[in-house]
Formats: sequence, structure tokens, C-alpha cells
Amino acid sequence: MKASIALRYRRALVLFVLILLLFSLIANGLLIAHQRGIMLEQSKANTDRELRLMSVLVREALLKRNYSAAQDFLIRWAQEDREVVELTATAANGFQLVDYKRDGDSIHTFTLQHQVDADGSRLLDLEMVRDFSLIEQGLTRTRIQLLLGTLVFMLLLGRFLWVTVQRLALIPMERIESELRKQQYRLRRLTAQKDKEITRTEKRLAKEVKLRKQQEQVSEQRAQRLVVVQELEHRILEAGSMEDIASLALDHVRRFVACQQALLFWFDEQQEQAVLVAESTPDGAFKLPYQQCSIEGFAGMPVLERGQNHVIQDVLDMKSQSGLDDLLFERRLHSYSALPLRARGRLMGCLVIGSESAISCAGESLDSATEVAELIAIALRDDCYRASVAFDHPATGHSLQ
Amino acid sequence: MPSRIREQCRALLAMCLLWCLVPVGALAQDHGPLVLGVYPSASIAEMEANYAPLCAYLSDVLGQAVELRVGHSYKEHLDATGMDQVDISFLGPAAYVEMVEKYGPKRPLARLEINGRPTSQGVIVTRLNTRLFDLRDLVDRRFAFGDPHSTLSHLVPRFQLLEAGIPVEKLAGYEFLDSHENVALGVLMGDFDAGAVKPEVYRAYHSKGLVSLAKTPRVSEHLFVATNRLSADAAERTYHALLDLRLNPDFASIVKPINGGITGMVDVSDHDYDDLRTIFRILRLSGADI
Repeated sequence: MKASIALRYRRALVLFVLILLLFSLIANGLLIAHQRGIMLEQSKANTDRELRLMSVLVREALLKRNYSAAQDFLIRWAQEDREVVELTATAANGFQLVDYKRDGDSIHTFTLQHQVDADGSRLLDLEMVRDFSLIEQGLTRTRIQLLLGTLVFMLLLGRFLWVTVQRLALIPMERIESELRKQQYRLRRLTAQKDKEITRTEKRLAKEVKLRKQQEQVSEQRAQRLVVVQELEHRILEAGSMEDIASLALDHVRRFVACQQALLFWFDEQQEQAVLVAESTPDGAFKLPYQQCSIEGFAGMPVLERGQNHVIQDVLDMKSQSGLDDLLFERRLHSYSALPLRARGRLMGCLVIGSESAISCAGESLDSATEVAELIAIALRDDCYRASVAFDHPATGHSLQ
Repeated sequence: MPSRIREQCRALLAMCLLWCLVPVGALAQDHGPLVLGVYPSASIAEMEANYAPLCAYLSDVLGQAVELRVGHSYKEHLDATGMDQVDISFLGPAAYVEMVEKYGPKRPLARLEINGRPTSQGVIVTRLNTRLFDLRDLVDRRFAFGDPHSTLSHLVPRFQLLEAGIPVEKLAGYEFLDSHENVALGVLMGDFDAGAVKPEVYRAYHSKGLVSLAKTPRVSEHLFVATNRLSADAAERTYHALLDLRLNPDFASIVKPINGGITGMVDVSDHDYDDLRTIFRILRLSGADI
């Protein structure tokens, strides 16, 4: 159990005991005051009886003119009783027959008077100042005893209540709270664990969703591209000449491949020349420059022959520049990808897609370009077949066309 | 058993010695302790306390125990002295004169010397604001006497009143109040207009409002007498013991309790009380029942 809770309970208990103590003290005070009143009244009554008795005895002596006996009697009476502080006996003419004063004063006194009469005339006025310090002392003792008793009782009661509260409430509560804390801790841990799991799952799901979306997007793009490619394929296959094929292919490349320029080279094996048969410019123009360069000096021939793409990130980084590089550099292209045009294992040319920035095209664009390259290769092969058939068998060639 | 026999012999011897010694002790005292008789001027307890040092002194000097006997009254003490019921008696002047008249002479031993004088003088007192300035003003006033046998509180003042032309019949009333203190208190309380007291009492109550109206003639002081019961030798030794008392270093502590003014004991003779006898005679002639 937390110390603050115990402290709060203890404070409440101490407050309760203090209030109880206060009531007890007030009750004790009232009791003592009542007792004091009774004892004082009794003392006054006793003193009054004493004065009456003294009066009877003194009257007898005075009537017998035995003044000294009366005087001695009163003085001795006062001397014998230590509670008599003062005793005066005053005659009718003001003479004080007795003026006794005890040694030692007292702050707790009361005064009573009595008149000694005989035959209707006043003989003496007796006045006694009586000390009730003994009563006060007794009451003080009782007060202290009550106070101490009450304090001890309250301490014991407080202790008993504290132990009872501890045993009946605090300790079970402590156990329950401890159990509760454990359960809370367990719950928090579980919650955190579950949170982590949920977060992880959410992330995974989000990732999957994203991935799926990407895949869907890719599929969609592919589907679209496939449609486009099929259309392109259809149109390319229907094309009657290399120029048409090149025009369709480069137009497709310009539209669907992220590049500034696309160039189509034809490898003339007989003359060992790489002929630039067509190119598309950034403004969409289609040219048929028919520039040539040596196949040997054509960049990346070994790579192209293996059927792989020859990718150059930046032409300026090249140690030795080929004819293709010079040609591209003239067109301010810094990077390019040369895609082989192969059909039946034969390298017929290549499609170069270039970019003015130092990063060559990749990914989707490159895939599209590769598909176009393959289509161009097939179309070019078919065109070659048709050309050879037309040359060898004109009738068959005409029907084929 | 020899040792037991020896012890028995010793016990027998001791008993024989005791038997021989007892009569010797008894013979040392003539007839028990001497008795000093006094009149009751205060309570018996006070009297015993006041006279204890004197008894001790006399016992010491006389070599014989001296006991105190306080009389029940003036009259009883007087009779006890006259009938030799005491050995030494302390008497007032009037009591002595009366005792001698009634029982015959006894040997006067010594009289008190108060403040250097062996005579005393009573005081006729009144209280403040009574408008009494002279004895003649006491006509039709109430007067308080002490004991009827008292010298200073009755006999001498009554004689003085008589001399002043105021016999008791001219007073509004008079009473005998037994003691000097009663007289003083009776006057102070207003029950009496005047009274007669001895000088010590006057001095004691002067501060409380008691004033002197007149002083009585001087009479010889109180005295110690030896009764016929006391042997001549013992009387002689007592006489010397009393006269020599002033030489005792404890003189003050012995006599002061009896009377604070005592300065010694002086020789006394029966003639010292002749003036008082004259007063008695005159009072009797005036009809006083004394």
C-alpha cells in the first residue's frame, strides 16, 4: 500500500481520536466543574454549620461575661483548623474580639458570615475566610488523573483502532491493491504487446496493400502496355517497310518510354556498318538520318551480342568513346541504354534510348523499350524474310505482302 | 552443675543489694515531692507550662522534686495554702492578707520585683470615646471588676472609687468577671464603661483601644509563702533559692513565663501588706462583702 494512503488513514484516525479526546476533555472539565461546585457548596455548608456551632458556644461565654474564654475558644478553633485563613469576631461597637490570620495566604478562599445574637441584640459578627485549596488540590489531582487516564485510554484506543483498521481493511486492501497492480502491469504489458502486434500487422497490411496496389498498378500498366504493345505489334507487323516499322516503334518509344531521344540502328553485316536508320527528337519529330558508323566502334557490341542491354550512366565518364558515344554526345545525350534487336539468335541492330541527364532510363521504361526492341527485331526479321522471298520468288513475295 | 549454682548465687546477691538500697532512696525524700501551689490566673495548661521552669529550678536547687498545683479558684487556693495542703504557695497580696486573717501567719519567703519595684499599681481603664475623663465621671456607669479576691482588679480599685466618692452603689452596675482579661475585653466590647486591670493587661490591650482613667495606689507585690508543712530547713533553702534566682543565668527563661516584668525576687515581711489590710478594713466598714 502506498505510504500516502496509510498516512491519510492514519491522519483520519488521529483526527478522530483527537476529536474524541477533545470531547472527553470537555466532559472531564464539566465533570470536574460540577464536582467542584458540589464540594464547594458542601464546604460552605459545613463552614456555615461550624459558624453556627461556634455561635452557640460563644454566645454562652459572652452571656456569662467570659470574654477571654470566647476569645480563646475562637482563636483555638481557628488555629486547630488549618483551612481557616481568617477569623474575625467583631462586637456591636466595632471592637474586634478576634482578629486571627493564618500564616500563609491562599488564593482559593471563600468567606462566610454569621451573627451571634442574644435576646434580639447583636453580640458578635463572625466572619470566616476559609481555604478550599485542599479541595482544589484534590480536584487538580483528579483532573490530572482524568487527563492522564483519558490520554492513555485514547492512545490505547487509537492504537487498537489503528491495528483493527490495518487488519480488517488496510492489509486486505494492500493485498488487493498489490494484486490489482500486478494485473494492471500484466494488462499494460499485454496491451503494449498487442499494440505492437497491431502496429506490426497494420504496417504489414499497409505494406501488403501498398504492394498489392503497386502490383495492381503494375499489372494495370502492364495490361495497358500489353494492349499498347499488342496494338503496336499488330501495326508493326502490318507495316510494309523498315521506315514504317521504325516510325511506329520510335513513336511508341517516345510516348511510353521516359527518354529524350530514341535511335534505331541497323547492323549491316556485309558492310560492317551500324546504320542509324531512324531517330525521334524531343519535340516529337521523326528523322531518317542514315548516318553510319563502324560496328567495331559501336559501343557495347559484346554485351549486345549476348542479348543484354548496354547501359551507360554518363557518356563523359567513359575512358574511350565509341562512334555511338560521339553520335549521342552530338545530340547532348549524357546517358543511354542500347537494347539489342535479336531475332533467332542473330543481332540485327539495337534501339538506343537516351537521356540528357546523367541517369539512364530503367525499370518500366526499360521494360517497355525492351518489348519494343523485341517487336522491332521480329518485324525487321519478317521484313527481311519478305524482302528475300520477294527477291527470290516475286509471286510468293507479293502474296506474302 | 557448678556454673548454675554460681549464677544463682549472683542473682541472690543482687537481690540482697537492691533490698538494702531501696530504704536509703526512700529516706532521702521526707514526704515525697514538694508542692508549689498557684492561683488560676490562666488556663491550667498555660499555668503548668509557665511555672514548669521555676519548678525545675527549685527542684534542682532544693535537691527535691517540686510539683505544681493549680488551684481551682482564688478561694480554693487560699484555703489550700491556709490549711497547709501545699508546701510553697504563690499568693496575690489580697489573698495573702485574707489567708493570714483566716488561718494565721505563714512564713513569707520572697515577693516579686516588677520592673525594679516590689510593689504594683493597678489601672482603672475605659475605652476610647467614652467621654470619661475622671473617676467622678463613673457615676451611673457600668463597672467591671475581676475576681472578688483580686487585689488589683477589685479590692484596691474599689477602695479608690470609694475614696473618690463613688461607692459601688452609685454605679449603674458592676460585675465580677473573674479575670483581668475579661475586664479589659468587657470594657472594649462596650458591655462596661470602665474596669480595673493589672498593668500587664492594660499594656496588652492599650493598642486595641483601652485607655487609662486612673492608677490605683501601690500595694506590695505577689509573694511566695512557706506553709507549715514545709520544714524550716527546706523553707530556709527555698527562701535563699528564690532570692538567688536573679543570679541564675537562666533567670529570664525561668521567670518571664510567669510575668514578663519580673526583674527579681526580694525579701518580704508581713508588714509590707499593712496598707492592704487598711484597705480591707475601710472597705468592710463601707459594707463591702469581702
